[in-house]
Amino acid sequence: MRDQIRSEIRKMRSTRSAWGLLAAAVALAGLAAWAMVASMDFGPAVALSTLPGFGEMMILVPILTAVLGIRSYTDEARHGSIVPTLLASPKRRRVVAAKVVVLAGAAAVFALAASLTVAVVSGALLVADGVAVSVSAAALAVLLAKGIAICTLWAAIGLGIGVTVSHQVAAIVGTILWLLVGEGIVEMLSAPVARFLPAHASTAVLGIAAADASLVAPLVGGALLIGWTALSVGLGTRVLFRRDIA
Amino acid sequence: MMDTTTNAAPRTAGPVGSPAIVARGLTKRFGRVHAVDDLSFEVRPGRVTGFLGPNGAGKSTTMRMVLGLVRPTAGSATVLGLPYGSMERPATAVGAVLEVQSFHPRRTGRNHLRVLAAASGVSDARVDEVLALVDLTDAADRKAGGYSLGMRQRLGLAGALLGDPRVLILDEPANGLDPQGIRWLREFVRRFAENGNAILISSHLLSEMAMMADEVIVIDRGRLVRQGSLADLTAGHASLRVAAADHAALQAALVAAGFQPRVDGEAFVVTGVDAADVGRIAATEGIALTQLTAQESTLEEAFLELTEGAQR
Repeated sequence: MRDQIRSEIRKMRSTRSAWGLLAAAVALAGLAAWAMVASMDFGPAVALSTLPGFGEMMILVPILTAVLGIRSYTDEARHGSIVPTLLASPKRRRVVAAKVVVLAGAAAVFALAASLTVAVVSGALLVADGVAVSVSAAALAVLLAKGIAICTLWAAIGLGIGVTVSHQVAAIVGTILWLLVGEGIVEMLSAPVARFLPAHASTAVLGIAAADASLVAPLVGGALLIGWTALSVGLGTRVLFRRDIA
Repeated sequence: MMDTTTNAAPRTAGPVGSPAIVARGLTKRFGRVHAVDDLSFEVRPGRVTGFLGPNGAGKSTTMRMVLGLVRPTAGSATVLGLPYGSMERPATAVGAVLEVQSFHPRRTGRNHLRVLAAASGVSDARVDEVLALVDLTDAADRKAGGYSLGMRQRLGLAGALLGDPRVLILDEPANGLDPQGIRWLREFVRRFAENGNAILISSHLLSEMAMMADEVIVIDRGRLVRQGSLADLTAGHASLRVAAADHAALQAALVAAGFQPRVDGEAFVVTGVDAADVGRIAATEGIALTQLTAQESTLEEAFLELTEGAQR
């Protein structure tokens, strides 16, 4: 599978789409940090790891890694490069696995870049406002690990959706609508059901709203998100395995 | 100028005489449509095999089944003795060009090939070689979306040649090529086969196919109509051009003898008969012939007759 992984890395690095999404992630993180500092009063001192900007960022950035995952397949379907891809690597499960590995790496970079942006921007703005900012490396590491896990899982979920749906615009618009509107509607209809849905599970993992009854416990959220990922990638793999590239 | 050299030493696509591609009972149904129906054929090394059929005959679907892109409803195909899907690094055995556009338009030609080289386990040095082979070196670092149709075809061919394969499968490779490009392709294809490799090539340009192919497979509505050497295919459809001062008498004599003369200007064209028979008929009836010429059948005539015959 090493050949396929090298190929997927080259695909990602040789067009601008991944870089554009990474730039959007950094911009969103910076914007979230600035809006948070501008709109909240933190008093004389605050611990960096407790800033809500991390939570907001970890809700928005996974959407971008999901889009990255969707595009990993739908770009190929749209432009016809799926034909030489599958001619070079006819074992289709291997192609999906290589995409998951490379997307996971890219999503980790997204999470790292966005987290650093929130930390640096909010830290600098707070210090400029005269707030004493304390930094706990351990607490930040936990936040970062959660962010990487969530972004990675969403990239894989996106891949599964992209392979299954195949049509790029439908897959991206459908996914974003579901994340921003769909689960909210389900929550209004039945909060106990909505708790188990992927975006809710993702928010639960962060543990920033532990008292919120509409969310499951962080560990349960993590297990649920892994389950949704397995379902999406499994379905995508099955669909691709049976699909005629006509 | 493009280099048509492929391999330095002749080699064969598999054991001598054994077919490089074998299709057995290939069948594909899309819903109620039978795209390919119980199709069997073989493609041998050292020969250029043309794959002919009217639009929608099932040529592309058949090629895609051979290459593991489309799952047959029934039947099977092997390349060099193996189902394509079971090959670890198929690029070193088989190269294929199926579509004019099969690349990300914002990726450069070189990067497109580097992506494929990595997946195929081929070195980046080979990328430069195939770029030179198809005369794309100067355009290699431009985005492939800006390539002309001919350049896109050549980029596809470069991708197919990355693994220095022993079998090539090309679907309409002459599309979009200018006359120079077509001549290059023809020479390339011939050289590739002469080196002991196997090549299956579809084209709707029958005159081109007549110049390239040693053997042809003709399909229509997904079914095999004929497989054989080009010479055999056209020989069975040779015709005579015959004319006489008494036009009507000649026509009546030919019809009475069981032939179906086709009017062509002042003369008749008759197939399935030799000159001696026509001479005898004319002599018996006392008709003075003004012309009696054997006509070589073109691939186009043979093709039309075969496919129209299959539709009747």
